[in-house]
Amino acid sequence: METVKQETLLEIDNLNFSFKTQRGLVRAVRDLSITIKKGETLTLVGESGCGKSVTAHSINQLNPMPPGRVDSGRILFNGTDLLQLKKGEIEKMRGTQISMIFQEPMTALNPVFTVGSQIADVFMTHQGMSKDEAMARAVELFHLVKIPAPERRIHAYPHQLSGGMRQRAMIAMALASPEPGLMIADEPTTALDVTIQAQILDLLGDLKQQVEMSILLITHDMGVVAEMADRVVVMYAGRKVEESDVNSIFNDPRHPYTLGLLNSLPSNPKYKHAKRLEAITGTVPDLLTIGDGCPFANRCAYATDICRSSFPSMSEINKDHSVWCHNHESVKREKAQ
Amino acid sequence: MSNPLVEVKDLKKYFHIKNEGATETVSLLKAVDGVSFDVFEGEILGIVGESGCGKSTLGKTVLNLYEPTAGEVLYRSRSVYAKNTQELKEQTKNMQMIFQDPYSSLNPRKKVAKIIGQSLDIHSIGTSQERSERIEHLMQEVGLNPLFRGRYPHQFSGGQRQRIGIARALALQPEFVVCDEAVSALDVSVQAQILNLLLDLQEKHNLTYMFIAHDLAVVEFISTRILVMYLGRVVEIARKEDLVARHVHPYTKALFIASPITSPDQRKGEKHIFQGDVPSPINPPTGCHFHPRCPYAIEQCRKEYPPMKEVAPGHFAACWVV
Repeated sequence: METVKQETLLEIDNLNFSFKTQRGLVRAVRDLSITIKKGETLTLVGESGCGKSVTAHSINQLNPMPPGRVDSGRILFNGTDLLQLKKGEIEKMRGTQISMIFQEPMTALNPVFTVGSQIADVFMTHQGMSKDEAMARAVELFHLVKIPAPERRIHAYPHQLSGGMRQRAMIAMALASPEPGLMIADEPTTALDVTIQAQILDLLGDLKQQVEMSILLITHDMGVVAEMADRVVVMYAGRKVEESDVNSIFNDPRHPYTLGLLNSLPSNPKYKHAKRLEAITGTVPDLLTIGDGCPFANRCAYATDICRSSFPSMSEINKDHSVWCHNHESVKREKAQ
Repeated sequence: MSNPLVEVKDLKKYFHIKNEGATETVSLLKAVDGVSFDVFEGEILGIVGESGCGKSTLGKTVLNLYEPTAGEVLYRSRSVYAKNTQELKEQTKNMQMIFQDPYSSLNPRKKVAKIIGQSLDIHSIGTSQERSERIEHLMQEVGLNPLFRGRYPHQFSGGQRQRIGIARALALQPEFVVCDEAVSALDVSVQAQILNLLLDLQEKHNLTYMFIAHDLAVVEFISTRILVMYLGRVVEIARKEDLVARHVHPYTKALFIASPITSPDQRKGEKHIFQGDVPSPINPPTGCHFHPRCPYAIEQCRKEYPPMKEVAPGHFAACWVV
């Protein structure tokens, strides 16, 4: 945590992103504002369809457009609005300052080139290195991400590596930027087995000590959040519903959805001797027909009439903790009992 | 404890894998390699392990969806294999399965009522009026609105589809249900609903589950007993409370250590994470399959597979160093 400086690296300012579909307009991200400071790990957490990946992909513009469209908002990276950049400029940004690791490394790596040459490509394209220099750097990076026998492994094709090793190779590639400012990790361990997931999370933690970078970590897994995050943004149906430092999210959640998410985890210590989980009822609303009210209202035990008609404004619990809920006081009262 | 409902005896299931190439060779994948255990009436036996450890193959072989390579499975003391068609049909009334993927396990061209009621048709149970009532009753029981009986699977969410799969499995009032990763494709909030539903149904109908999952937290919550698999073999089996209190096998330890923490308060400076990858089941390591990753491995582990030892009453582990 000491490495977190107060300087802002990325600021997403009031982003609205929608997809035009045959059935109508899907507002995937609504009025979303997020800041990431230098050296910080911010996790975006939420369930499938909540807009967390769309948010991440709008930073380096990987959302398909059309049908996707930025309706409004700014994404400031070191003060530059990424949404105003030309195609060539954003491509340069992707290779130099904003890197990305994906959920399924098999589909993210090119199957017909060796992993070493794919990493070397980054050095050759963006830093004008010779092939030999670039391959030597690739070996160094493989050392850094703890791939055994790196001199041999850089000549391997993706299918010759295990899932965990492929994800390490992806991380090495993300680190190939000269100044890795921001690493976007989209569900980096979801496709991996638990013992391998533990290794990759451990590696990411180590790298943060060695390389100065900020991480935007997208996940649905509160365990990964607990392990990695400095700060947490909880999203639901395209909206930010709670934002806080990691300890408050777990120890003092104020949004009914955050509370429900934590209560849905069978690993929650409160279920040591319980026979049932406290599940959230109902299902995620259809983004096509969602109104302007709080999207969680139809599943929320605390919902009142106002929740169905208007989305709440921000309530500040303290300087690091904010919640968007009309009834967050009742959540607090109930928890106190 | 009550009588064993299902007895699995030295069960083996090998697959022949063709290697394409200049010279076509065949290698043997030992998905399940000599597994023995009992499932007792009314219990929930959790089967946990990582991908490729053979847990799904085990579930399917126990239900006779796969023909075993060797070994025997007894259901109420009678073999589930080597039966004529009529006997097999009778057997399926008692033993059912819930699948992982609620998308690919439901026929997209059939209406929900047809999917749930198909087994009633096959076994010619009741009149068509009775069947229709039974389908509505089943839908209600799993939390689906019976008015949706005429809808197709794609009109339902993932959680609702899993409810359809559960209703289908329960249609014939089975005693024994294999849940193969029944909640792992679902979002956490929906997963919690389905886990509660499975527990409600188990209580109500006195079902016996074999609950297969890779997620230790889920298995730990739902099971009464837990069996840990690694590369086709059982490495440890014990009552849940015993296993949580004391995990003996190094692989079980690795699973517990790797299990995600539940609060940032539990972050530790140094975790003893087990290194190395899960080896291929086509060519597993000699001796104990876990020895290349095991910090406690001794010479014997490389040479010989350890036998099951009873480390405490009802608590078994296969490891040379316990």
